[in-house]
Amino acid sequence: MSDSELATLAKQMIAQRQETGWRRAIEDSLLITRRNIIRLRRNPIIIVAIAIFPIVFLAGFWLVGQKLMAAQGVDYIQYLLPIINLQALFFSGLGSALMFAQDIESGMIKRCRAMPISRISTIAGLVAAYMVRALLATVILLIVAYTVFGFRGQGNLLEWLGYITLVVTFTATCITGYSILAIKFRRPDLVNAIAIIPYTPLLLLSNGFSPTENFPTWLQPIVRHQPVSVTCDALRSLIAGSDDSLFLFVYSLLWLTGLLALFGTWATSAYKKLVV
Amino acid sequence: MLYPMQSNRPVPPLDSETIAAMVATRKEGGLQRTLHDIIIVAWRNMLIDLRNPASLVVSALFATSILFVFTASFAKVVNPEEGFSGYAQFLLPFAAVQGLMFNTVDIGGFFYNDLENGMDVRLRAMPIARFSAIGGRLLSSGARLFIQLLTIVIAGHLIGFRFQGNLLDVIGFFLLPIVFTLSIALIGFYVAVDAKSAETVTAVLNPWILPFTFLSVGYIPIEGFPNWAQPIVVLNPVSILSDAMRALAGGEPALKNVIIILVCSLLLCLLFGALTVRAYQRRI
Repeated sequence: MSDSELATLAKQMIAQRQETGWRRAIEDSLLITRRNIIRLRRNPIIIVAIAIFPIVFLAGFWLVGQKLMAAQGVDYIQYLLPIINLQALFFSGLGSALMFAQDIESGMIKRCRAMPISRISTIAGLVAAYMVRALLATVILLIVAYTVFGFRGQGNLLEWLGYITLVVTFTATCITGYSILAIKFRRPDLVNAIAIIPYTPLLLLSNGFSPTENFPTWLQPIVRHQPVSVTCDALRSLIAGSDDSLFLFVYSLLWLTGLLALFGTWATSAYKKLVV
Repeated sequence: MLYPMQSNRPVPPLDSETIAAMVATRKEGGLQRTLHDIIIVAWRNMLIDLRNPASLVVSALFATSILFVFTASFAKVVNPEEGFSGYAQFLLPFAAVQGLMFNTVDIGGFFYNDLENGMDVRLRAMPIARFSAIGGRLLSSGARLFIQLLTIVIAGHLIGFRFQGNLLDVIGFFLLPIVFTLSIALIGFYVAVDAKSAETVTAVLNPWILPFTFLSVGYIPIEGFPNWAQPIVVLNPVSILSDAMRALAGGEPALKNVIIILVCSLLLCLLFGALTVRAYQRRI
């Protein structure tokens, strides 16, 4: 065989085993997503995390806060729902970090690297699988809040689309941020323990459970403008269909996409350096 | 020198008296020996905690952050006139109990790991008291809970929590929740002995802890609950324990609630202690 024939043959073989390009990346990502979803489905605790935890938190805070908040003129179930929704999305992020750490530990990531699949598919598959979980949790939560707790949305279709957009963006930001933790700490038990450190202050030092005015004066600027609060405000105004919903939606989207870009860059560089 | 059996010294004939004497020197039962072995196993567990303190630190920080954050966000909701320190005084006992309760999930997980990773098999092969695996884990868990509680109290001091009683009240404040939480931890042990995976322990325990802590006089006083929920809240052991600790912290009489909690703990210990020991003996 001459040199030119060999070169053509090599090109053909590479073309046949095409590992790059958009179509291949999407195909491979879907494959990994399916694998992750199968893993999620086989773990019965996930049902507890998706369906029961958010509802227990909703019921618990509603019981504790309803009467007292009514004294401040707040309809608490309407006020509370967005933060419980965001909390459920946080749980999804926590779960993804744990699975990612387990995959690093067990050698799954190593195997994915050795296989002729698109590089991005491990991360994209993780995000997609946990996005499914987060959306499922959101839908279950909304249904239970509507039927059991008398929660009602006044927004129009466009505003509900805005709601879903924020939910999806928030989940993506959350999972990407948590994947950094998983890459840096690796040991699943350690990741599990550390994962609540960003979660607790962000979630609880927000205006999600209690209006900003109830916080000490010096804390109020932080509470008002941190991303979880801003997103919470936006979700609430989208539910109520109020006039400032567009402004809050854009403000929240800016926060979330900014963080997503930051976390994304950081996670990608950390992942590239990951020696498994 | 270490193996005298290898020398050619003639082995003395073993009569029943010699055997009895040998058994006596290698005694594995008895109260003193059991306590001794429990302390050794407990110390081993604590060393693991101390050398790998992430979970200990996080459990303490988590409860502390709950205390801080709820004081910041709920103080004015619960009592608009009173300052933040008044609410801290009210909330701290409950925040502590909640933190300890969530720790029982970790403790159950640790016990499961002991059983699963071969530690238990090794302990069973060693000439130590049978009970020391369970007892040692229980004792080291008590130490773990104490560290967590101490962290919360010190942190609470910064935002206005104060002991107003005498030394006996303070000791009661520390011991009562630890005793109660350990009796809850025994439920976790019982689950762990038969569990198929570490996640089973978490999945069985977690869903119970949340309703128990929410439906209690913890974050808010009893008047804040809807009328239908109030009787449940009053009877909830977490409420009774929080009230007892509040009274102990304030130096007020707390004997009735303390006795109720001690009786509850005793019943839980007897029931789940017996179940755990039985299940443990059947294992393998």
